[in-house]
Amino acid sequence: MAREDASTLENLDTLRKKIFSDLESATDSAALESFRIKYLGKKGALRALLKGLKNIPAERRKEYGARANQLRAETEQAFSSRTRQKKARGDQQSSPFDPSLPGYPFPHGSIHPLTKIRNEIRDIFISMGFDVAYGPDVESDFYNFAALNFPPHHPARDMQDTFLVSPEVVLRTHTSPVQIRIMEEQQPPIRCIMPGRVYRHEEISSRSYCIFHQVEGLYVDRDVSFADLKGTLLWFARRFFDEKTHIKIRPSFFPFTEPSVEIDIECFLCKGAGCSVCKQSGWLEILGAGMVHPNVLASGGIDSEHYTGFAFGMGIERIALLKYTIDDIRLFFENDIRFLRQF
Amino acid sequence: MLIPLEWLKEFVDISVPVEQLADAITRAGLEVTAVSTVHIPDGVKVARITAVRPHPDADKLSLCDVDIGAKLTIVCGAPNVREGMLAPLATVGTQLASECRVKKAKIRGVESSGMLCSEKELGLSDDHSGIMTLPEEYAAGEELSKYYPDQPVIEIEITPDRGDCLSMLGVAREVSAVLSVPLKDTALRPEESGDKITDALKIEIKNAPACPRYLGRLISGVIIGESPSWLKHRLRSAGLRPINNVVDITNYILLHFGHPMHAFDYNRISGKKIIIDNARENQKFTTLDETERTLVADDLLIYDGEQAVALAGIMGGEGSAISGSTTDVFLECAYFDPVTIRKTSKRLGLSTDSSYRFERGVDPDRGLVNALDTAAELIRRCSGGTVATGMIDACPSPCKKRTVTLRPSRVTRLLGVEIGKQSLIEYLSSLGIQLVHDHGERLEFSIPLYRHDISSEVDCIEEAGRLYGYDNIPSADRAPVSLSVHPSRVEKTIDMINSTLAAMGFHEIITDGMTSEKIHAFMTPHKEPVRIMNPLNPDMALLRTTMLSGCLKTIAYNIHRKNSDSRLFEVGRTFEQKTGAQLPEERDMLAIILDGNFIPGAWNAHSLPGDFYVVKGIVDSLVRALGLAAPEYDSGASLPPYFDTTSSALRSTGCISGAVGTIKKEACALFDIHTDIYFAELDITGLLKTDRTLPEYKPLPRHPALERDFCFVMDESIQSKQIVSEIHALSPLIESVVPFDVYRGEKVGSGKKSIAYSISFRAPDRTLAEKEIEPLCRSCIASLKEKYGIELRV
Repeated sequence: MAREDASTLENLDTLRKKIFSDLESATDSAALESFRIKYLGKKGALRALLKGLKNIPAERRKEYGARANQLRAETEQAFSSRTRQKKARGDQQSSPFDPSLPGYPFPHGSIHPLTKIRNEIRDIFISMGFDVAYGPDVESDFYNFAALNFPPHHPARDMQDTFLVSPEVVLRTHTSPVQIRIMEEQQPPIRCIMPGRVYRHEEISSRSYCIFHQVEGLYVDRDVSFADLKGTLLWFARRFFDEKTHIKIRPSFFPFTEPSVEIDIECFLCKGAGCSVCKQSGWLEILGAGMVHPNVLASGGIDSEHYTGFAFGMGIERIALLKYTIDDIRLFFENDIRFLRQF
Repeated sequence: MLIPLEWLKEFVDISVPVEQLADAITRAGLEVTAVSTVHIPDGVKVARITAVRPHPDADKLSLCDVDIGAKLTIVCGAPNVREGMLAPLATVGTQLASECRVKKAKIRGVESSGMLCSEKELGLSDDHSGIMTLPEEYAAGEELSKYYPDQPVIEIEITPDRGDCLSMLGVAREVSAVLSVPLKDTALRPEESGDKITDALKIEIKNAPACPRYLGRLISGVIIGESPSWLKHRLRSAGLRPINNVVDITNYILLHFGHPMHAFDYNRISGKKIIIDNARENQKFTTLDETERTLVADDLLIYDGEQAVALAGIMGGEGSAISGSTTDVFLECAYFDPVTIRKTSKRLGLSTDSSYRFERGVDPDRGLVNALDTAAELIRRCSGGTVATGMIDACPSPCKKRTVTLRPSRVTRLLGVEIGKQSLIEYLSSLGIQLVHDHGERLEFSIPLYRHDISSEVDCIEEAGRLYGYDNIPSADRAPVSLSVHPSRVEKTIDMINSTLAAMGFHEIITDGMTSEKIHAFMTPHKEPVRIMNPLNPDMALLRTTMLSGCLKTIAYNIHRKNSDSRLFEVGRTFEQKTGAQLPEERDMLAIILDGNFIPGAWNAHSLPGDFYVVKGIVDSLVRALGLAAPEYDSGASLPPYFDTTSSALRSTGCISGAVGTIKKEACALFDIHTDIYFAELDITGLLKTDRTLPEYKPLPRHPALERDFCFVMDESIQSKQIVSEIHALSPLIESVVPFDVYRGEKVGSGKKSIAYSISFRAPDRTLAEKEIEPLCRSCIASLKEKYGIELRV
């Protein structure tokens, strides 16, 4: 058999049929081994085939050579796949196939839960026509406080425990300074969100961390009113949490907005009935917002008689903690792979 | 701030349930964070202690005979227990708030039939220094709850702009506006007698801007003692501990009207003179808390004829304080400038109930007078003194009421709802903001002096808006389109990086971005970092100058939790202080880190351990996924000091620069990591600013390629890319040169390596013939030999 004359292309086809039928009937490892010796071994039929090339007339040698090489490659591949199959299935032809063995261990990674939440928020606002803008983490006192209507010695500064780099430079305590930077760059209409990292001088615990992330929003145009603020943020809440969710608005205080409000959304876990996540209140504090203070518009070089606007901000960590019902904020920054893998 | 409902009711009639009240004031702007009820459990009785004897078997315990109608013996450890006193007794079976049920128990051999309780044990306050003393008017044997009916307490969080709400009166003003109920006047006027105060004391204000108004009254012949029970009860219900009748009254006024006051021992004011003036630079002053403070010239002091007696608006001094022997009391009730008080309080790190209120602004107007008069009258009633005739009212710079113009049209434009002129006037008037002129489209309002937060039109709009109710404003149902000026290409690029790396098996991490001096000194001594003046701890003293610190910290964290084969990446910023610039340079960075295997071994697969080439491959694939040409590597370029020799810098392009390689053992050791760590750090600042270019389409080849394999032996010093470019240079017919095997060993000799290349030849217009490529192969072999001394291995 090994010396079988395969000097013609027809014979090559015959050989191919033979090879594949032999492989099909090789059901145990002994049969596979003799298949390997017979066709793929040093003295095997395929090697002989290539050795026999010199006997082929020159004009057919090239095509024949290519076909022979192709057959050899196909055979090797089929054999190795057959061998792997055997390994999975066991030696006995009758022994059942075990599909429960794990698949090939392709590495699989993950995107951080904070990035996922951030991008979900971002995509909703992009769909409403908002741009995305950025500002530096290290900010001057002017952008972080003064331009945002925090007078130099006002107790409002105590609302945000601040890391100082110098008396005039801070690690930004909120993403609001980007509002000023945007207004300096362009005249209204302005619609953008400003996601970013912020820093607070707070001891690290399960509830608070010295860094976290915010998504700031700003919309300034002619005749932007509180009703637009409500409409926009209600739409956001319905897209992000639940299409039937309700919001509740409470007056609050931020120096850079007037009126200032906090927006609670109906707890998406208990649908407002009260549960441990919403501390039985049925509501979750999610957003701070308000109409941009005329002094802030002025800081940004915008005439508040012509333009009005609203701004809002939300903490990504807080929303992520709620949405995934995670009880310790430190998990986000420890990056335990067993944690990351779940997202 | 704690607001006992019963106290609030002194100012306003409240007929709605407390929960409804809490909801209404929250919606109007004072956030109620909790509503609790102080409840004295059944079984706690008023007990008369008829005898106190030492415990036969314990020095610190006493045996008390008590009378609650029945006579019982109680073992008690309190230091203040004495014969004849009235005290609360939790009888056997009482369920206390602390979740313990009182049982009959033997204590050191003596049976106790109940427990005498401290205020803390009853949930009335935090005081656990001894058992609670009950007023003599209580009847022994009665349930204590008869005297302490259930009392709801509302806890309110007051924002820093609302200093006017830091009192029962302030909260009552809000309640009055929200519930539309009248506000009652609770101020008292003192019954005066005797000398005029102006004969007793002279006031001189030397810094009028810092002290625009200073009031005082003198009460003589007081007897310092315990406060009456109603007063102690009030203070406790708002979370304060009673001290003595005079001090308690000043604290009571603080909570009642929001006015801080200070009581001096009149006889210790030398020269019968009060001078309000700045401190001298470096002046020393010892405050009541027995701390010596070093002052600066901006600080404001109260002096007598000789020396400083109080740190204005913050804390009194030791010398002139009320003591048990005080007989004459001078009461100070002033208005100090908020900024002056805040600066001193901040600088000294000394915040008191008094400074807290002055910083936020108190009422310099009627409120000040009401507070002083009421305090003087209460002291007279509670301590038996007489109030001198008249009050000192030094008012060198009277505060003027602001007026604010409000346009109803502006209200509609800003709130998106028409409230109506008449309603606007009513809402504002309910808050004490009075209309002074009606010019039709412009309304002029006068702002009460206690509302330091209202100074412009928009502030009045907020006041009207919150009373109108934000929930009553309709939601606009429109979303006008904006013309984008910041296309979100940055977002798209970062999304692409995230999804590509996640698909390749990497987990995104987010680290805090802070590091220590020690790590900085090792990693990036050549960079000037951003140092934090007030870091949380030395490990977080500066902002990262390299992404490596956070990555290694995360690897170490995972190794210690037995998470092996970490594949991580982080997109974040690094910071470097540049000379002359106020703000540091911030760079957008991508870090990729690998510990252990890239692909772990499995039953059907060999593991693929991490190494330089694995990370390089990841970087190359990622960069190509981003639509850029695969990066070139420049082994000559300098590397950050944390990379070891099996590392290489990327040839910097406008988009990406950085390095790939192995991290030095010493750097890993700083984090207690003892495995090999492979790392790539790319600066993508340029990439994020670059517009994506269109892919360049090349037609697919129409003719087959020919392939030839060659194996070359060369000096170790020769780099593969030299061979590849040499071969490419030979002919445009050479399509690709791909190394597929590297061998080192005795067959090639030491100092040598053998690399096998697969070379593919293709012509765009024809099928290549063998004979066409043969001369190319020969010249390839010849030129490599000539140029690099490379031999063909056969």
